[in-house]
Amino acid sequence: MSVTLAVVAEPDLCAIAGVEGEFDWGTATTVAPPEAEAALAELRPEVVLALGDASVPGDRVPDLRWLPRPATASDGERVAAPGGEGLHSRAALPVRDELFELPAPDGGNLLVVSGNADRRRALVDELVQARVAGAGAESLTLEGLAAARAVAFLPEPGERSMPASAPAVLAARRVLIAPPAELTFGLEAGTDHLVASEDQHVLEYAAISSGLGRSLETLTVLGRMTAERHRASVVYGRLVRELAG
Amino acid sequence: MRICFLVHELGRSGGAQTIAGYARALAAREGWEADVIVTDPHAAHVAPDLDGVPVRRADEGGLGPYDVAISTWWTTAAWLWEVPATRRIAFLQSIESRFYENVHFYERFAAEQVLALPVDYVTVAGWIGRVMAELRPDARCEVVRNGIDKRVFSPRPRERPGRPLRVLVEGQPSLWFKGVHDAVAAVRAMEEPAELTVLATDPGESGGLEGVTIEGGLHPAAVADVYADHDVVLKLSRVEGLPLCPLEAFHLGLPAIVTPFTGHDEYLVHGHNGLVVGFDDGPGAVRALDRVARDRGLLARLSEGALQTAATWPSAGQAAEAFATAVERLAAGPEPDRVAALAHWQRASRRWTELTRFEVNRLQGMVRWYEGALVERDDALRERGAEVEEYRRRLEELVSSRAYRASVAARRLIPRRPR
Repeated sequence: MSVTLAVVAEPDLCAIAGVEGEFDWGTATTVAPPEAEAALAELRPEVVLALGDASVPGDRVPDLRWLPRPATASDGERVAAPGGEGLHSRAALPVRDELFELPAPDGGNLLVVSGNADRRRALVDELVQARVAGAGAESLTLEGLAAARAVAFLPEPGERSMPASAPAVLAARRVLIAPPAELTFGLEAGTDHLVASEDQHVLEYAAISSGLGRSLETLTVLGRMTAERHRASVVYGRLVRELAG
Repeated sequence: MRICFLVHELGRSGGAQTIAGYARALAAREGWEADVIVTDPHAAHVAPDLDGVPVRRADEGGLGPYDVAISTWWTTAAWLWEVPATRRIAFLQSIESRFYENVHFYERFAAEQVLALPVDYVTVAGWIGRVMAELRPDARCEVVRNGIDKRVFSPRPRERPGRPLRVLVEGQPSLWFKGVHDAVAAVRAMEEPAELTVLATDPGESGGLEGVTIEGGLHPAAVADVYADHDVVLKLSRVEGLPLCPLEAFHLGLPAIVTPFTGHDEYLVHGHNGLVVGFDDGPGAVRALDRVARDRGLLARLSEGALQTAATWPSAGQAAEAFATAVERLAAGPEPDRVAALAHWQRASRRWTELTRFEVNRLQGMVRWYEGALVERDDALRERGAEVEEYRRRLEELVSSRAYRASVAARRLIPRRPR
C-alpha cells in the first residue's frame, strides 16, 4: 500500500508538526496554504490533512483537521485535537521527524510559552533578574525551540491536556517544563519532564536546570524515547492507512 | 558456573515468572548451579525450593560464594554487595523508576540508582538497551528477549462466525500505568456488540472496576484457555518493559490493539498483527475495536500476522540459552568501569538532590498556605463571634426597652382569629 499524503499547514506549524519524504506507507508533502491549490492539483493526493486553521483550497474538504488546541468537531469534519467533543482522535500534535535531529544550542535560553503576553513577559523579566537567559513566545516555533535549552509551557486556565506541541520539545532533547495534566499523551511527569503548577515553579526549575548541566540527561534521554511515540512519519502513517482504507 | 538470583519476593507477576523460568533453566544446565535468594526480610512463606532450585533468605548465613550475583528489581540491587560474588549483573525488565508517579519521588530516585551501578546489565528489550547505551555508554548491556513456552501457547482452531467480538483486556486494574479503566471504557463505548473479560495478576484487586468479569491468578495453561476464548487483546498500558501477554496471545492467533507503550515495537507491527492507538485517544481506541468487530476479514488478516510473528519469536528454552550465554559473556569480560559509573551516579545524585529540594519546598509552601488559610479562618470565626455577641447585646437591649414591652402588651389585647 502506497499513499500520497498532502499536509496543508502554515509554515510555523509545518516546522513543528509537518511531514516530508518517502516512507514505507507512501509519500508525504507539506504545503503552505498559498501554494496548496497548485500542489494538490499536481500531487493528486489520496489523503489531505490540514494542520491548525490552514484553509484547503477549492471544494476539497480535508480528510482530517489536526488542531493544536481543544476543539469540538462540527459539520462532519474529522478533527484531531488534544481535547474536546466529537473528535476523531484525541492527541497531541505529531512531531516532525527532523526535530529529533535538532542540534543542541550553545548555551540556550528558557523559552516561556503562553498565550498570555503579560504573564510570559513578567516571567521572562523575572528570569532576567535571576540571571537566567529567557525568551517568550505565544506558541512553540522551530526558531524558539532551536535557541532553547528548556521550554516551559505555562498553565492555562481550564486546560486538562498536555500542551499539544510538548512532545516536540522532548524530541529535540530540550528540558520540558509543563503544567500538570490529566491527559498527557504518554508523557510521564517527573520521568521525562518537570511539572510546574504555577509560574513560581517555572522560576525555580529554571534556576535548577541552568546549574545542573548533564545531570538532567536522564530526563532528556527518556523524554526523547517518549517523543518517538509522536514521530510524524509514524503517526501520519497509521492515520493515512486508516483514512485511505 | 554458580549463580544466584536476588528477588524481593516470589510473586505471580510476569516479571517474577520470567526470573523463576531462568533460574530453573540455568540450574538444569550442565555445570551450572543456581540459587534464588529472597531479599525481603519480611517475606512470608518462603518455599525451600522453586521446582528444584534452592530458595534461600538473604539474611541467613552460608550463602555462596557465587561466580555471578544477579539483581532482579531495584530493591534487590543493594544486596549485590551483601552476598559473596565475583561478578554482579543487574537484570532490567524495565526502567523501573517509570513505575512510580511523581508523588513517589523517593522510590523513583531509589529505583533509578540501579542505572548508576558499577555492574553489567542484562535486559529484556531493545528499547532498554538503547536507553542504557545513551545513559551509560561505558556499561555492557546484553539484550535477551523473553521467550514463550510454545508447548502451552500454541495455535488452536478459531472459528466463531456471527458472534460478538470477544475482547480480552490485560492488566492489573489497580495499577495506574496499566490503563485498564481506559480499556474497559473503550469496549463499553463500542458501537458494535462485544464481550469483555479482564485478565489480571490479582483478580481480587479490581481497582474499582464494576460489572466486568475479571480472570486471574491462573496457571499458564488456563491463561492459554482464556486467550483461546477471545478474539483480540486490548492493552492500553502507559509503561511496560516487554509485556508478554500480547506475545502469548499471538501464539494462539489473537491480534492486539495497543497503545505505543515501551516494548510494543519489539513485536507489534501496525496493520500486520495488531493496531496501535495513541495514548489517551479514547475515540481512536473505540474506532479500532469497531473496525475489527465489523471487518472480520481484517481480524483474520491480523490474526494471521500474529501467528507469523509468533513463529519467529524465541521459545522459553531459546531465551534461557541466550540468557546463559549473556551471563557467561559478561562474566568473562572485563570488570565494569567504576569511575564512569561513579560519574553517572554523581550527576544523578545532584539532580535527585535539587529536585528533592524543589519537592520539599513545594510541599512546605503548601503547608504554609494551609496554615495561613487556617489562621484566616480562625480570624474570620473570631470576627463572626464578636458580631454575634454584638447582635445578642442589641437584641437584649431591644427586648428590655419600654417600647418593646408596650408593643408586646398591645399585641396581647388583639383578639385571636377564631379557628
